[in-house]
Amino acid sequence: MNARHRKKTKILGVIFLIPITLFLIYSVVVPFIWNIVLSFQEWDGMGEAKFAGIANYIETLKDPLVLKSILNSVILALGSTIGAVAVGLLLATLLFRITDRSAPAFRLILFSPSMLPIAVVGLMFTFIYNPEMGLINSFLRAIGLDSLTHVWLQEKETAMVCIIIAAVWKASGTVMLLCFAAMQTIPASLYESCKLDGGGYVKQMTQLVFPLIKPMILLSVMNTLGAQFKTYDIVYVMTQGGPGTLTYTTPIHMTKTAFTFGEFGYSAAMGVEFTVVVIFFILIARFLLRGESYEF
Amino acid sequence: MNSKKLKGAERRTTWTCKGILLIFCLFTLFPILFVLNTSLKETSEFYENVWGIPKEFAWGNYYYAWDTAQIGTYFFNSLLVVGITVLVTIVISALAGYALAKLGIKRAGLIVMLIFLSTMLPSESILMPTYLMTARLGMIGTYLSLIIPYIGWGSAFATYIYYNFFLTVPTEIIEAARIDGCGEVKIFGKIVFPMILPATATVAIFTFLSWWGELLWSSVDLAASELKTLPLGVLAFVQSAGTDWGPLCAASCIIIIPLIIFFLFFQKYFIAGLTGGSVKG
Repeated sequence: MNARHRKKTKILGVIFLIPITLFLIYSVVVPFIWNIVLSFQEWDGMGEAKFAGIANYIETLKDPLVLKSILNSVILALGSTIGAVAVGLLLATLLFRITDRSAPAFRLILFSPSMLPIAVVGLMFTFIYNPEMGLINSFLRAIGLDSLTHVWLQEKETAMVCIIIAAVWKASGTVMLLCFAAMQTIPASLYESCKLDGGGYVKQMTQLVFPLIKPMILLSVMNTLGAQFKTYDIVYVMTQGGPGTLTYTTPIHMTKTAFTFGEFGYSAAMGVEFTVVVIFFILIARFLLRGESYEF
Repeated sequence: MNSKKLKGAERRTTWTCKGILLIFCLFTLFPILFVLNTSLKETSEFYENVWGIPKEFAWGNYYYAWDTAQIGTYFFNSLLVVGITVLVTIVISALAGYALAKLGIKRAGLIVMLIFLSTMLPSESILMPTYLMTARLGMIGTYLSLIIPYIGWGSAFATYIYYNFFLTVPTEIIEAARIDGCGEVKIFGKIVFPMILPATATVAIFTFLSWWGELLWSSVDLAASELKTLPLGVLAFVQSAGTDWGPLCAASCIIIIPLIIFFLFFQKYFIAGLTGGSVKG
């Protein structure tokens, strides 16, 4: 390839990058910068925006509801990520063992919750948790454990846990598929040698497979964590943040402040703070799961 | 003798695995089947007979949801929005991934990292300015106001997948085609792109799944609009129909069915897609 040709392909490369650049500028770069600018302003969405310095940040950090919503988001994200990764990894481990023709069916069934839109998942679980005729309470009554019935989504002790369970139910399929795919890239010879060393299935998995697919586990953790921090929809569908403000998460609080109360600067400041929190947890996850990756 | 014993133990492990998986399948399927079952019952029958199968299939629920509750209209709205989004995402991400992997862009690795990082930003922090921007452009409540941000938000991850796949295509093939006098655009469209169909299947599935049920942006953007997507339509139906469980469940099933079809259609490539490129990490 001569120099002229090389220059030509490079120009073509730049041309190929133009569309995605435009889309990213429109939908990520400009809004992100605009959000930071807004967070230093006081603006009700209508008139002139006034420069407010760091007033929004000070106010939001003093606001107990902001702190509570961030805490709720963190609990929800951590709880559902840990749950989903644990269940997903377990399912992948079990699935990996199945080599006959039932494997695709298992895969489809166990992945199906991840395909469902949150609106539907929320609807299903509101029904399951419904205090009068919901599945759980009906079941408890049927086996005579009336004392254990709860108004699941309304009580302080149970509301959050119930949302987390629904989130885990939905999210573990993706983790399963990612880890399962990674397991398939491990050459069979490695298993054979492990088997010859007398390792049972559990030992094979924990000592050979998990370390080898660690990069994929890390990717699933970060992916799930990122997704679960965006818990607007599942909470919105199931409790709308209620009862009262019990299950408020930051996204819900933000959209309410901006679009219902018209305090755009305040909401933007919350968004920036929330971004910092999310990045902090993603970095921690990276740090905890650090370590060398193996080439195979 | 020894190997026979080993085989027996292995078979036992496999059956244990299958048993546990079956239990999980039960938990997974139960709510879905329950909705499917309820969607075929008259609501009055449902209250008398929560658990059993319907005495008579109440197809009227589907008709009611599709027609009276306008789920049908919302269905085609969503199909249009998500369909265009998937197509455009595939095209622009494939172009970008190819350019970064094979066309000698400087610091391609760094650019890919930056693009990937943009997927980590919580969408809430860019939601409000996106709304303000859309409002200033006078696009609130239009199809485009959904399609453009969906493409922007989804194409970063798609580019990452394509980039990893294009890296696995041997450069020699491209060189050989060049020597044969094949134009660059033709090399991309006729030779390299068809080689990585699993990547396209993966991107298509991921993109379809993430936007078919999207709720946050659409609920903000379409809050005061006549236009509704399928998830919004179902939610509105939930709020208006209250506890009319039969039609509600029918509406939910209408959302689910295309997903199952889409997945069954692509699943062969999908698994290959996840294993193929170096999605290892």
